This record gives sequence, C-alpha cells and structure tokens, in this order.
Amino acid sequence: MTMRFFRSTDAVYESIRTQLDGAYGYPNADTKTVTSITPAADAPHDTQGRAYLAISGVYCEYNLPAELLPQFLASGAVEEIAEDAYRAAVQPPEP
Amino acid sequence: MGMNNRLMRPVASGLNPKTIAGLSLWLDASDSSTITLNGANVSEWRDKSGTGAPAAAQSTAASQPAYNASGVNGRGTVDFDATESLVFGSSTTSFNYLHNATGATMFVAWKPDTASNPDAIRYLLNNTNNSSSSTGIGIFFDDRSSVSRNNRMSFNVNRGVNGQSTSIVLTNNDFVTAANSFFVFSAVMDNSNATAASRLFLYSNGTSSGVANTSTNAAATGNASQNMTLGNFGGGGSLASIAEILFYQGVLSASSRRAVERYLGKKYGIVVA
Repeated sequence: MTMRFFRSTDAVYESIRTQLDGAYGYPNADTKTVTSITPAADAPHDTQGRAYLAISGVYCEYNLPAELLPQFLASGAVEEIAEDAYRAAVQPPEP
Repeated sequence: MGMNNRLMRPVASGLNPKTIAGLSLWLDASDSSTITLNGANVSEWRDKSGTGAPAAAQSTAASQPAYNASGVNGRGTVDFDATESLVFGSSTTSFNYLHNATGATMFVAWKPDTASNPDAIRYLLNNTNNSSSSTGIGIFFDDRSSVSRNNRMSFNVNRGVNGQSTSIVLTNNDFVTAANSFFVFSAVMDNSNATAASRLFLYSNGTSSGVANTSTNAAATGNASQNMTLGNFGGGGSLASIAEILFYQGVLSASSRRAVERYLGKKYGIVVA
C-alpha cells in the first residue's frame, strides 16, 4: 500500500510510458484502458521542467515495471525521491 | 437431503433504492455487471440509477483501483490504493444539485483506510479544487494528528465566489468509529435553507455528527470547477474501499434517509442506528 515517487525528463518519462503501453497492448478498447501511466504532458512538473510521478508500490511490482525500473534507476535517467520532495515540488491542493 | 431453494437465495437487502424518488446516481460494487475490469483493476464503474449519470472511469492503468469481489460481507468493493482514482468524465454539469439550491442527500458505504490510524487525509468525492473561488463539493476523511484530527469527516460546499462557502462541516473527533472499518456515511445538503444550521447534516451509521454549519452564503449557481473524482485527488492520496454510493436530488425525509441507511447496513453487515 506504499506510494513511490519518481522524477525524470519528459523524454525519458515518455519512453518508459511507450514501452509499458506496447507491452500491455494499450490502448485497449475492451478494458477501456488508454495508457499505462499518466502522460508526461499531464504529469506535474517542477520549475526545472522535470516530470513527477506518484505511483502505487503494487504497480511497481508488476512484471514489466519491476524489470524496467531498476534499469532506469541504475542509469540515473529516473530518480526515485522521497514523498516530502514530491509534495514540495508539485504542491497538491491543501484543504 | 436436498437444500431448500429458498435457503440458497441471496439475502434480500430489503429496499430497492429506486423506489425512493430522486435517485440520480447509484454505484453498486456488488453488481459486477456495472464494472469493467482491466485485469484485476477497475477501469469503469457504471451508474445503475437509470438517469444517465456519467460513469466513473480511469483510462490510465496505474491509476485504476482494484476490484475485490468479496470486500465486505461477501460483496464486492472497489479498493483504491494511494494514487488511484475514478473520474466521472465530462461531469462538471452533472452533479450541480450537490452544490446548488436543489440540494441532495448522499450515501456512501465505505472505509477510508486499511490501517486503524492512517494519520492522513483520505479523499472520497471531490469536484472542487479547494481554492476559495472554486465551485463544487469536497469530502474527505481526516486523521491528521498534526492538526489534532482523529477520525473526522470534512464536507465543504463551495459556491465559486472568492472566500465563500455555502456550507462547511468538520465533524468532531471519532465521528468515524474506525478508519479501517466499513461504515455508512450519509449527508443531507439543504443548500438553500435560510437557516445556516439546517443546511448540512452528516451522519455515521445513522447517527448525526451534531456539528452544524455556520456559513451563511447563498448556494452556488454555476457548474462545478472540476469533474467529480472518486478516490485520490490532486495527489492527496486515498486508500479507500468503497462498496456503494447513492446520490438523491433534494432533501430526503428522515424516514427515507433512515431506510437507505438501513438498506446499506443490512447489505454490508454494518450496524446502523
């Protein structure tokens, strides 16, 4: 039930999304599913233009994300960050 | 010895919610025919009120909640992890009765979290972005110790005028018995009532919060600022499990409200006053 938080450039983010969509066969009209993760254009960004993703830890354990994620983290193309850093960057609405 | 067929039938829940006038949204996770799955996850949850209300949907796989076929009392639930949500598409005009002078009565059978002390906000339904000039409703469970909140519910009706709400109720602590137990949450929104204290009432398992609204601003006249969202909202997170949601346009009588609360209580094994 934990959340994980990542950031990257839009180009890296979109390359990951494209790989995931290709592997899962999205868009899929039968399941009404268009894409794997929020497109970079709709993702929150910080002042440096980096795209941020908050995602369920469960999703990260699915086969393909579990295979891809360590590679991108090791290369430095994707950075995993703490929740505080995510919230500081994207500033969700506070009730 | 053969089993009596009558004993094999599902336990009747007593009430057909459609028999009470005004039903405008009915999401029922125990009716799997209203749910489209993407693997084990929910990509669409359709209304069964028959009024043409929009479906709650999520086209991004990583943001789709899970479906649990026996989440509560042997019946289905939609289970939201922290980043997951369903959005009622193109719905900024669909639920105006929730925030305008029409008013509404709302019921949700749900649990806000999987832990007893989440120390966090858990979003339920939102179509206002919480800014002071936004229009719509915002409902969340609040267990943040940093602001001395323990098992409260917060309900805002925003009218789209800077700094003004039609009504706000933040319940006292322990309004919700336990964050990780299903309960029947109900709300009566009489948005145009001239008496501020009679505009918004919240109930947990049929018992009133006892907290009255004090806002005196008029009801909104415009559309909601955002599409209605169920679950995670604005990155705020939700671990909610939701079994059933019903919206009625207008203020139901006390007897009708209790009938729906008891219907939900009986169906999901929840003790309702």
